[in-house]
Amino acid sequence: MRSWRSAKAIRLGEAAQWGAGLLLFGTVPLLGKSYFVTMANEILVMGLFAMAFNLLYGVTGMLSFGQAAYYGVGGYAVGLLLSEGIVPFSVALPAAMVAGGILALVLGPLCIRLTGVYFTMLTLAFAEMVWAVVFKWYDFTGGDNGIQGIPVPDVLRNPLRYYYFTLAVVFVCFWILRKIVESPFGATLQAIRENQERVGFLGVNVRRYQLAAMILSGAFAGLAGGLFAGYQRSIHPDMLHWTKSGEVILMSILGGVSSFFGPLVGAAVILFIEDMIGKYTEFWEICIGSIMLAIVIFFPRGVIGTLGARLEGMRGNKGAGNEATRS
Amino acid sequence: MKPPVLEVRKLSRAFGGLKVTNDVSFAIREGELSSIIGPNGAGKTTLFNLITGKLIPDSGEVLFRGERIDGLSTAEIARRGIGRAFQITSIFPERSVLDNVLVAILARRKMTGRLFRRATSCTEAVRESMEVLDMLSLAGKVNEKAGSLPHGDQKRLDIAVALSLNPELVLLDEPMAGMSPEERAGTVELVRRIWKERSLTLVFIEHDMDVVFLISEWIRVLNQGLLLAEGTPEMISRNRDVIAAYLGEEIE
Repeated sequence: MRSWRSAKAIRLGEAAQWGAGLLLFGTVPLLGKSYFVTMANEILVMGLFAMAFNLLYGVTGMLSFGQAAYYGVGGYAVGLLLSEGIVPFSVALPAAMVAGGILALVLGPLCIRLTGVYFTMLTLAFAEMVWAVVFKWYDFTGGDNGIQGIPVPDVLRNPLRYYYFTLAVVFVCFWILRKIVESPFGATLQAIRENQERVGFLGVNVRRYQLAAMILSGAFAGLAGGLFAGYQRSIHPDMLHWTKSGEVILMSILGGVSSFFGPLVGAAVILFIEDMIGKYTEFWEICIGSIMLAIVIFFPRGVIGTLGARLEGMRGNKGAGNEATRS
Repeated sequence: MKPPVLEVRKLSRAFGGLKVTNDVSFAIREGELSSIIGPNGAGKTTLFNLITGKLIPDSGEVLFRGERIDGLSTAEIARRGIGRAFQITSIFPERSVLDNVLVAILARRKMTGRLFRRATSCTEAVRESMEVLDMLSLAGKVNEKAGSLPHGDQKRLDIAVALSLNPELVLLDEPMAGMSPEERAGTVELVRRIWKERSLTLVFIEHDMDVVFLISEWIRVLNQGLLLAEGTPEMISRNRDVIAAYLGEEIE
């Protein structure tokens, strides 16, 4: 895979990706239209949500169809804490993360009892239950009205400032996620994805690591939800709807689950399509469907994954003649 | 005589009505290099599965260093010091060769919970991984994707992962299956050398009788779930039951 590329070259390549990403998102406001800032903000938030999902799916191999529950609970944590005036924003946002993590700590053990498609169905079922509670509990969550007019601190009232705030938080999270994936803990998660049974034979309690992955994923999803609530200054049960869970799956697969930034790219592509085509027709889902079809046929490893492999393959042929071992 | 490392007492396990392991008892002495033979369906792999906790026996006991381990999880049994390589190669195919062994070493060193460091920056663990890979002649392929290695290399990687746990007892399930004759010869030497250098207790399942009789100190023969016979290669080659049930006339 990397035998012909030095570790230094890989580091440089990665640094370039980070630099390009920061530059791109950092200069969006220079385009001068608030539309672009709103869009970029949404891409960052959903990108974080998708990358959190991918810690579970792409890294650990657990397909959860209920991540919207954690995203939504994070949003409601910020919304409720701020509109009730209980704590300042600086506490409410970390609380969103904690809320997502705690929900995963509660639901996780119930879900990881099963594997494969049964695990997926359980995640969906529990997420639907959380959604139903939020949807019906008018006194507490505002039911299907949600909550509007969430007060955010004056410094962040300006959408541009909030955008840069989001940018900073999201990229710090990306950096942390990257660290996690590369750590011994991350290596163990990836081994679980590859061959769960063998990891057990190494003396590792697999379920404990799966639960830890769910908690981390839930926490980052919660933070993404909290950031979204702060930007929109409103929350709605739709944040917990199963279609939201489906959206991050779609984004991750489209971008490529085996590449680190794949889910972020997938989020950008989907949100653009939604917005561009959504202007002309309410049937934009058909377009997403067709594009998904094309992706699966032409980019079986996601956009980033397939392009990356092509690029490496080309370089590999030029280089030592070493066959690109990534098939 | 040295005390037994592993003892199996009246071990039985049935699938449906079929008794795959039937009242099997034996003791493996410390430092022994032994093999388990038997026709297909004799219950050899099932026996390994019962010892390593993948299967739970219907009745009987498994004792490791005098303590009962039947009923414990595979993870707990591995932590106590039983390592295993698989008949159907069981590796981490999309990970590099180094990562395959490194994760096992990190697991043994109880470092898998660490979050704030690169796995590949854990110098001691990486150095140890390289040693294990070197021992199995895989040091030249550390950066290759495990799943794209040739079959023989994958089998040796599987053994490397098992040895990374520094086990006292190693169970190898057909370590040479599917290898070319030259690879077989090399692997036989390798297995023997590792057994000696690391003073392991090693048990392997194998169909190649030449290999079995060449390196085993002790042979156990399973047939239809029963322990038919055990003894030195010489004893086994002369045992009438064994000849009748399994080996046929052409022994040596």
